[in-house]
Amino acid sequence: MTDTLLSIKNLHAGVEDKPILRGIDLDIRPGEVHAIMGPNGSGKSTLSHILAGKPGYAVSDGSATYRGKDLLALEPEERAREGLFLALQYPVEIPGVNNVYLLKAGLNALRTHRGEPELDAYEFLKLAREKLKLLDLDDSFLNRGVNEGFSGGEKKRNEILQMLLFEPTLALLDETDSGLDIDALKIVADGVNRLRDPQRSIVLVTHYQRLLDYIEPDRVHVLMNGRIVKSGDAELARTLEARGYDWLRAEAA
Amino acid sequence: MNDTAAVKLPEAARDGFRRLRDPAREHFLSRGWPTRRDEAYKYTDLSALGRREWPSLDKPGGTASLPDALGTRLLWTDGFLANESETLPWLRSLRTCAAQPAAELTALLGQLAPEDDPVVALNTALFDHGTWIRLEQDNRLDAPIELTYASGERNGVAATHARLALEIETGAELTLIERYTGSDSDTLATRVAEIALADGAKLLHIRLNEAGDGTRILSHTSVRAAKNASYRLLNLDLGAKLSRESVHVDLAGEGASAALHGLALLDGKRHADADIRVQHSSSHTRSDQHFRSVLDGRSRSVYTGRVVVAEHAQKSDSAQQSANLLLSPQAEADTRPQLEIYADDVTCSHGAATGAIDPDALFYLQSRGVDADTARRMVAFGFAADILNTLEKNALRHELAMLIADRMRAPREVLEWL
Repeated sequence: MTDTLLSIKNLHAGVEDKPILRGIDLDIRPGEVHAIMGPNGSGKSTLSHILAGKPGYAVSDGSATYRGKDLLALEPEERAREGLFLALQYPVEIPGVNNVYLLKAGLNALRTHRGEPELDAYEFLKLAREKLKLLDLDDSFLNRGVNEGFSGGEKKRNEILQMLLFEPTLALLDETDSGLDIDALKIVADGVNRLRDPQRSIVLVTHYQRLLDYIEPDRVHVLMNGRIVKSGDAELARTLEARGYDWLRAEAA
Repeated sequence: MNDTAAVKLPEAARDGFRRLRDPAREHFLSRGWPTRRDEAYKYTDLSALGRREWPSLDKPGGTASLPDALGTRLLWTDGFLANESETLPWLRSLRTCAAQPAAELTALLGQLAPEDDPVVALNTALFDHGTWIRLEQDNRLDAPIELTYASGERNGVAATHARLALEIETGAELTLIERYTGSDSDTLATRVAEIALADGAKLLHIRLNEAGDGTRILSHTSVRAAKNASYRLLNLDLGAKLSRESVHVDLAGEGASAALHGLALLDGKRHADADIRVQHSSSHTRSDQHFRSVLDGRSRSVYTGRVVVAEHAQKSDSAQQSANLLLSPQAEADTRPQLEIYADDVTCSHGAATGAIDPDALFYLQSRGVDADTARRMVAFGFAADILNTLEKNALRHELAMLIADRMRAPREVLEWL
């Protein structure tokens, strides 16, 4: 178990007095792609928010160990610098803050943390343009306010652009597929597949099997009522697509 | 009513403006300093000023260290022009005009500003320096002019009373910056501007308050815009102990327009009041008001936006919005949109919002590796800098963005991309 990247043990958490996660156990090893599926309200987004450090949640029991560190004790920016990346379901609009500035500030914060030299404006733009091309975006995308006035699809692609630039060790994608048409979905999936690497792990949080047609997961987990009720390989996702979640509800009860 | 016995004023100069000064002086002495009972001064109580005496100086204090100029600079320290001969054919120091004012000057002075306003009356009675600009037809100036009003280095108190008479003839264009800066010395600075824009004339007017902690600014601007003339104001309150700017714009000619934008960036116990009135007097006139504030400490911003659309001003269009970001629970923002519409075929809109920094935005930036304090300053800077979108992307806009970034301790790098 020494090569586990993220180890979640008996995690209980909620908002105020309302419990949402009721004992999550999950191990993720380097190079693995996991899919976490489940019906609405099962706790999928809560899990990804808590791992990234979003305020507003209370952890009442359990632990999350990331690269040997107590993940839950770190500030969100420390988690990011340690290589954890969360692509949000609803990326936030920050008017007046230039997209390119955030991308560069974020990347250089990561590089400094890793002991690498910061990129100057020229080096950064060169790198950013390469990644933009992969996502079928033009340069003007960089000079807009962060997510300001972006369409739903543009917001999701902006998240993937950040992920491609930051090259995280653990990428959590929270319903990145929702609201995307099939072309955008392929572009996003292609971006994720590019990042697949023996040293990098990816967690796809999704409601639908559709995304998994393009990104083949190593492990699939079903989250219901705050617990992982079933785990399996990619075949499990196809079963869910065919049968829905109800049979698991009966099995879990 | 005020206790008139308590109102004292220094003697006015016996110059060529006496016919204007005498009634103004009488008016001010009889009504006194404004109090919170005066509707226009409801949120800015000036009655404490009336309990002191405000002498003008015989000579200025020492020159304070000044920020770099944003254009061709004329510098007054405590009301004294650094170089009285430093004038252009179309720009004169009012001090040099005072003995025998030209007919064109007397035709403008006192014609636009409301003499029943106590600050206007005080200034008219006592103004002792300022500028007369008359830009002739089709003269389009590229380089901005900066009128700098600085408090000098000194121990005692000083009152300065500046006047601006500005006439832009048909088709001419100007960018004018009025800048308050200098030492933290105890200062009362009044300033009244009367601006007449002829057909198709354009003015970009930037009021930049970076005054020291001991300065109270009471200023008033009256504008009359003729057919297709355009008046744009960017009012930036970054300093002073207290600042009140009232702006009255009369869109007198068909197709005239006004864009009035402002930002108050305050900390400590600073107070900034922007009192805007736009009168749509003709058809097809447009006005747009957008005022923001970012408030820390116990600071306070006030914005009153009043729009009057006259009965015959059909097809007019007016929009007003204000947004305030509170960085401290003790800060306060007061916003008063007011609409009076007498025409039936017009479009008017307004909106206002006040709140703290969005925690979701902070988390988003942090989750990208940005530390919490920098994230907070980035969000606040983004909110503030939005007001600069009214300007063309040029060197002046960049300089103003840098001033704002420095005030907010926003990462300078944020500007690399503006």
